[in-house]
Amino acid sequence: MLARVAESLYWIGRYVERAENTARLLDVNYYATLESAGVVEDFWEPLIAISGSMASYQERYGSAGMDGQGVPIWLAFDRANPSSIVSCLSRARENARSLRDRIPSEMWEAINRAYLSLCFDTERVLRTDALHDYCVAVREACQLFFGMAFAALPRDQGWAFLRLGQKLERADNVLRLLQVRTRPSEEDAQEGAQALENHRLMAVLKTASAYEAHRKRYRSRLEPRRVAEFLLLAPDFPRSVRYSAMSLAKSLRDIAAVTEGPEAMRPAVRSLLRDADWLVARLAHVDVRHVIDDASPGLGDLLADVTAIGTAIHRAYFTA
Amino acid sequence: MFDGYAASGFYDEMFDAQGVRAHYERIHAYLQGLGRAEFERRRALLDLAFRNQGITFTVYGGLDVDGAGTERTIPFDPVPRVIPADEWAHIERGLTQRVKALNAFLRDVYGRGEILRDGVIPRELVYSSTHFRREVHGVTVPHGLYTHVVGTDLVRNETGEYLVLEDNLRTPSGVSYLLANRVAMTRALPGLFSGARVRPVQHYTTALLELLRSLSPRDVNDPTIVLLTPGMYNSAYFEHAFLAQQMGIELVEGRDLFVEGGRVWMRTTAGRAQVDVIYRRLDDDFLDPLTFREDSLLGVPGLVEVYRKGRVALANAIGTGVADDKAVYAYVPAMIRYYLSETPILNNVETHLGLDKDGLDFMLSNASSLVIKAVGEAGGYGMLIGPAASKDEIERFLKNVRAHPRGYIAQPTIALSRHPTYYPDSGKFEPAHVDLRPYILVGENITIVPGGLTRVALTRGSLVVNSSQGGGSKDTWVLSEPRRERVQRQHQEQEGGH
Repeated sequence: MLARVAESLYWIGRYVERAENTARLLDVNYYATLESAGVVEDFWEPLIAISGSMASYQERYGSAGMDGQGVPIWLAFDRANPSSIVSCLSRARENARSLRDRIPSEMWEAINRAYLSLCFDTERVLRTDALHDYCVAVREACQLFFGMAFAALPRDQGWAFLRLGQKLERADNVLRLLQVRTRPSEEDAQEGAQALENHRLMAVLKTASAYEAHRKRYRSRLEPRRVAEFLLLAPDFPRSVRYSAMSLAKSLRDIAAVTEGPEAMRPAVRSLLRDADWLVARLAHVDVRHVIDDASPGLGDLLADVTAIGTAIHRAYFTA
Repeated sequence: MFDGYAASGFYDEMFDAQGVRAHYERIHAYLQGLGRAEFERRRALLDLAFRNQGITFTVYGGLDVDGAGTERTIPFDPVPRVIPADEWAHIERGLTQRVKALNAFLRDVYGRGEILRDGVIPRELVYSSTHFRREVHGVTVPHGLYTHVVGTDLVRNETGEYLVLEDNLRTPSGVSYLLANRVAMTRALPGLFSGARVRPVQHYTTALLELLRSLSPRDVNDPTIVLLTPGMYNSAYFEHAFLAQQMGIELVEGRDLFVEGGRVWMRTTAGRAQVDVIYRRLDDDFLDPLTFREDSLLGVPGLVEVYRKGRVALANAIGTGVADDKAVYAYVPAMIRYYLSETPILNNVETHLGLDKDGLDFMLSNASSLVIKAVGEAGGYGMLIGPAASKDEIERFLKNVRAHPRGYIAQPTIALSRHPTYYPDSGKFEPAHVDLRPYILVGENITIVPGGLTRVALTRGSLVVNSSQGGGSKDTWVLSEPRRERVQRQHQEQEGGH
């Protein structure tokens, strides 16, 4: 497979996953603020932290405007934010366009339709109180796209690279979510903290589409540690970091099985597989208390592992 | 919806003085029966299908909100253009003859140059062509063929005669629209087809792939064939992607290829893979910065050297542009007589060359009634339509002509035939000028899919059909002979053989 094609598929996977994650983040938290007992600002700033765009946001807007107007615009519509929904869908579509000969036309049409219907006329969304509808539409468009891929893309390298991007992005996203949301909050010590914490943890779970799955497993009060453990280490929940890492490692092995000759494995590929296995092993054996307390490995270490795998993928496959 | 349709003044494809031509009766009746509301509904479906599928071309210069080129769908008119079997047979014979002569000419000018030595075509004309590539003089090409994919523009004059307006021998585009138009039409207006005996066109990509395979310099079962595109910002990118997909070959950009050890390779996730045939949709100038334009980043450094050694095949070959120079065009009938000893079946449009003195004088003194074209331009650029231009515009244009007479030709304005076309603003069918670009594949055999791309000048009264100038397109039907006539003809041919 052409290196450029593999790289584009990988990035399509990342962008579409990112657009979907951002849409869920925004949807859940926007509506959570509506009943969050007046401490609204506290809800908005972390969203920007989770999306990893605090620095560029401050550069553009200063610290002002982190409210129910500014943040949704930044996260959903601002083309100056490379991670906004609109930017992600545009870039995914641009990448898809560069390889529309390679992907089934249903996939191309799904992303092209998403682009045409969700990336223009965006001002109207907030003006008409339609952010929820918009976020739902984004999620559905992304799901439709991956669904098409699931149904129509041969299980070859192209598929593996698309999944690679998707899983890497997902692991990255959930780690950031945990990093920001498990930080002890000042309100926790105050009166009524328990209700607020419950509210916050629900939002965290819902942001990762994990609320119902978590509820079914633990039929008791929401506890921060258990929520973190579920999102981080559940071996069978498809959005957990551990599950994503295992699936990532599998995609990498599938790719190497095709690209590496029978005689020898290229050093860059060998080191990449080792990195991925190391992450999986860490997640299999770690105690969640250590992670949350930011001992070794902390969330920061795991995030660095994920980033390193991303870099190694580039070195092994895209710079031939 | 045909109320007030004015079929007079030009050759009309659907109507003659008596009324609807026989081969359009069925379409005419069907559209009448459909009614305006239902027709509008179907038309809207077609528009949406083209938009969602992203069947677009890119307009240069304009920038959209993403900072990329502006993508547009080509306006599609749902009234199909119909060509009866006997007319098509004539066109097919004429085009076959023409591409044979053009290939013979290319072989000759990049070889011994007999036609120049015999004074049939002025040596100066050929060697001064901006598309003549002395770098490939003497290179041998597979089957002795230079141009494998040809798009020849045909127009019909006021008597309905088909004339050749120009040949496109380099990287002619548009065939994907022909194929997409047909698919869209069968979905939106299936009833129109039933019993109409429309000949199929979808075998084009299969024939193209076979042709490309036949060019492989390596004798292997499964040669590696790629389509080389300038990239997604090229105006014809949709077509490049479409063709690569239909043929199941890699769509590559220059940066995906490299030359090493006298071979061309592509970069893959598993390392390098050798490339045998390149269907290039990139002009000569950009192919190889070591041979042609050194500032070009689109091509592959060293490609031409590998090509010269015969280790990679290019379709079309390098240097074919010398034969679609608009001035060389004037000599194609002479080529047909010279190489094939035949009489041209399809005539050229009368053409005056700036290169010769009489031609230039004629051009300068009759500019207001002529179409004057720059020989190296395409897409409707670099062109003066005398009757539609102001005095000032003509004077400005003629300044260039006087400065570079070799660079211009002049032709009378052809009263291009017209075809009923739907105009949403009036809700009616109105006549619009059309041309026809059939696509000819030249390999060991010659394949022409029945039909071609009919382009239509949508601006009322305009003669310019190019999509870059706001033209649209139509599905083009070639009808097969009714069975009765076919049997009769075969019978006669057999008798003639005894």
